[in-house]
Amino acid sequence: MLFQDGERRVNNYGENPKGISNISNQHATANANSSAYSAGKNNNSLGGYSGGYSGGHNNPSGNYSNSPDYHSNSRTTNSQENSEYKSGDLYN
Amino acid sequence: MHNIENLKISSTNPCLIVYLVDQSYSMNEKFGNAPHNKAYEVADAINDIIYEVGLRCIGSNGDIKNRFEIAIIGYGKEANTVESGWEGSLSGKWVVSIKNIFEYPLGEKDGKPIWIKPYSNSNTPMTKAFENATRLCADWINWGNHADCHPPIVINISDGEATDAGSRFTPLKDQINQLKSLSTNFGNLNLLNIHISSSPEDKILFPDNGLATKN
Repeated sequence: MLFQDGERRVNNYGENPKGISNISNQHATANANSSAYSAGKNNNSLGGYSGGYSGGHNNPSGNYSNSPDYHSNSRTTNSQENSEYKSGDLYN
Repeated sequence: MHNIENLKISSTNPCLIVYLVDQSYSMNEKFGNAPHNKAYEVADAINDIIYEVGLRCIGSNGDIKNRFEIAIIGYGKEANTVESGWEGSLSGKWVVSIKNIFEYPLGEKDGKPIWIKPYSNSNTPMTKAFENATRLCADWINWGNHADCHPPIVINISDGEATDAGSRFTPLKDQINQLKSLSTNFGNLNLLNIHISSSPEDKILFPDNGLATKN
């Protein structure tokens, strides 16, 4: 785990207690290979940040990432049952 | 109780920010004189804040440090439901580190990443939303070293017409007081309410009881 002082150490809760970067591997390759963001016009405003965001590659709707506007009132297709927060879901 | 002035938010001691987002039908009304509705304004604002938070967490080596964790709790998108507001790869997740958030944007708008979309669909189960926030924040405080972190910051954004507030708003008030009673070793949870309106008037910041009653 990288601490704020730039040193790598293991904290009291393990190497990666919150599962950072473990959400899904399906976009890992896309992230690693993408240069859309790091080499783009936003690079300067990010002060050198060059990882992560690659311009909406994971947009599930397909009609949203390139749209200049929102689509209000669109309904989700996900199941709405049992949607509330449950104990144990904190970082799941 | 520790002195919060001596606390530095860091990847070791992160801060939790929770947005409660009204997604009820009334959020489809125009936002003041703006050409768009209230839901659109709220989504824009939250996306901007998330982006700003992320930029401020970039370390000297270019990595995003996990100084903040964010939860989006939407209420009213479907009837009386409360659900996580994250979508795409983050769908169904509740608390997400700022590092993970930047890795999984939903898309982009005006050249900047976005994570949430506007909805204005159904009822306003605000009491239920606060009840979810209370349980989530309690779990967060009890997790790992979070008792030694900055108290969670909860921001409710609504046009203020809860449909489950109960008689004289008592259930809603009770739930809010329960949320506000949560604390870390650095003090009580911070709760902010942003009331938005279709009325094109000046902003009122931190209204006292008189103004709050008047509105």
